[in-house]
Amino acid sequence: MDRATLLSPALISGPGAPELVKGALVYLGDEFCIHKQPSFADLSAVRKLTGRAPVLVGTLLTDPAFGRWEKLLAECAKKAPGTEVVVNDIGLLYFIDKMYRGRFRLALGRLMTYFFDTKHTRLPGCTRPILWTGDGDAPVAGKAAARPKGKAGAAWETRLDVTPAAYIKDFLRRYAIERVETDSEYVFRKYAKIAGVKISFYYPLRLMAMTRFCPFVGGIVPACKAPCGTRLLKLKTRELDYQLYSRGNAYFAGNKPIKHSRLDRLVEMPVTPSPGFELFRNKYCCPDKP
Amino acid sequence: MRITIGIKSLKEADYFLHNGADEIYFGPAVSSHRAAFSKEQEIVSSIKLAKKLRKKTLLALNEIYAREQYGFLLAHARRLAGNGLDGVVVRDIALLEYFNKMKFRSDFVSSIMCSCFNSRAMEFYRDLGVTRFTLHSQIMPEDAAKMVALSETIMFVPCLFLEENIVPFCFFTYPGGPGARRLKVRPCKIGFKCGGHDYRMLESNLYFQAGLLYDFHKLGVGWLKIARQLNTEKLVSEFEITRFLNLLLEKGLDRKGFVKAAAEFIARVDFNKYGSSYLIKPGTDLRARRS
Repeated sequence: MDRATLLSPALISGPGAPELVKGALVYLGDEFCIHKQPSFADLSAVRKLTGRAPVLVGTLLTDPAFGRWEKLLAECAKKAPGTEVVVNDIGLLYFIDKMYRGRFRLALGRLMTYFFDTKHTRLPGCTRPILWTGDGDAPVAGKAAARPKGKAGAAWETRLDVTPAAYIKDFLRRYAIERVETDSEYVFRKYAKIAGVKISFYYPLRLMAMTRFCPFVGGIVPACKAPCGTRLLKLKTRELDYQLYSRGNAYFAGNKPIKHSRLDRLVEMPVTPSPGFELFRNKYCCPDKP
Repeated sequence: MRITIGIKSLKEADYFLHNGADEIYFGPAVSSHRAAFSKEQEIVSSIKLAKKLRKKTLLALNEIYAREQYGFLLAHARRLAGNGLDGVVVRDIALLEYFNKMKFRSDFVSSIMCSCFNSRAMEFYRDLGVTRFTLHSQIMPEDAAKMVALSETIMFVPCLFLEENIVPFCFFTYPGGPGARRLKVRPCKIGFKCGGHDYRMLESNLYFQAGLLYDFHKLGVGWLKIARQLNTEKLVSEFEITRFLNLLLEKGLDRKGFVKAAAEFIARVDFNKYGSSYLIKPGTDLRARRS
């Protein structure tokens, strides 16, 4: 089993940079922030430090950020074909398939696996109150209306938000995806039933939410030097039964590495516990500043 | 800009279509907190009313569905299309491909849940037959020029709907749900302590939100969308605010004037008086309001 460390480009060198040993596998980029996307120079810098090509990691990309990825892919296709790319944007997957099919090794990132299985990313037991009362093929009245025909006790909503495994298997084949990634045990077990695909698992954090309203810069900003680093903020409240964390522009719950015969790679997201944090507000999020 | 609004009854269809909505959308005949049509026949009556008034209708299938639900959804959509339905809002790629395979043609509209953040993602969905796109509420005008140029687009009114977190990648439980039994509002609205400091999930201010609306209008976004909700009074209020803001935009105010007017207007609205969007409220007498 392989082990990897997720690093944003700003953390490759300079103060606070982790020591990268020869042969270390680095996931270069960020799954949640468009300001922490890799460039070819970053890739070269990591390769020089570790002697091993890093895996490139993308997030949901706006058009300007996508333009930078197009440049990166064009350079990689020439100078580093076969680079592994973790795709978290359907547009990026589409673009690579159209322009560079076979030139990169593709992994479906955890945002994409969440995209297909939203239900399994919620905390266990969380469901929405959707009950079937439709006409036609489904029951129409009475207690039976709360469940699809022939499935006593199974409410309509319990099946929502789960893309059929057969479709996903075909999707992986069509887009030549070698690897899938997740931080959810449910999602992991679903993909473990699909032969041939490699599976990565992320720890020690599990995604709860992501945003462009970044607490470290006070909102949405056009450019950022990533002052968040690897800082992990512990958010305390009595209203949630679990511990919530903030890291960069995303929120997380704790997560432990999974034990499974299909686990091919563990990806560690480095964190530096931060004792406290005074929320920064820029003019876009401060109520007093037009 | 044209206005599309989510409804849950024939009574609401009648009210909004007669009061300036250009399009209504609704979920399948499923009872939920988002879509309360309980009978297909009532949807058909709403479609017919819209047709009579030369307005549009959309069926919102913006969930991810299990394979065994596809047959019903296809038959449901086909019956409604046979009665004049104009299009279907989609989120589920697998369902969209199934519709294509079964040769069900419609004007497909992407949901905000498609998390379509760039023009390449739009191309992916266009290949599957999507013709109109809902812009994500965390896309900024400076990011969206190519997207708006590529296709017809819809936006939520930022002053009314600008989520702190990005859907569909927000997995917080609803208040009272597992892990959140003591929660009264959504986690993005509560106060936290971080070290010795207060912490809240950030949201933008009204001036920023009004500016977004102005800039997207100038960019050429064609539709304003008002989300479905159970709370009819709040829905009516959001509709009236949207109409007012749209009128201001069409008056041709400059950016500074519009932002000030819109932000100060919204600041005076007391949304709390309507209660939560997620609570079932006694229905407003819509006909009385119309008169």
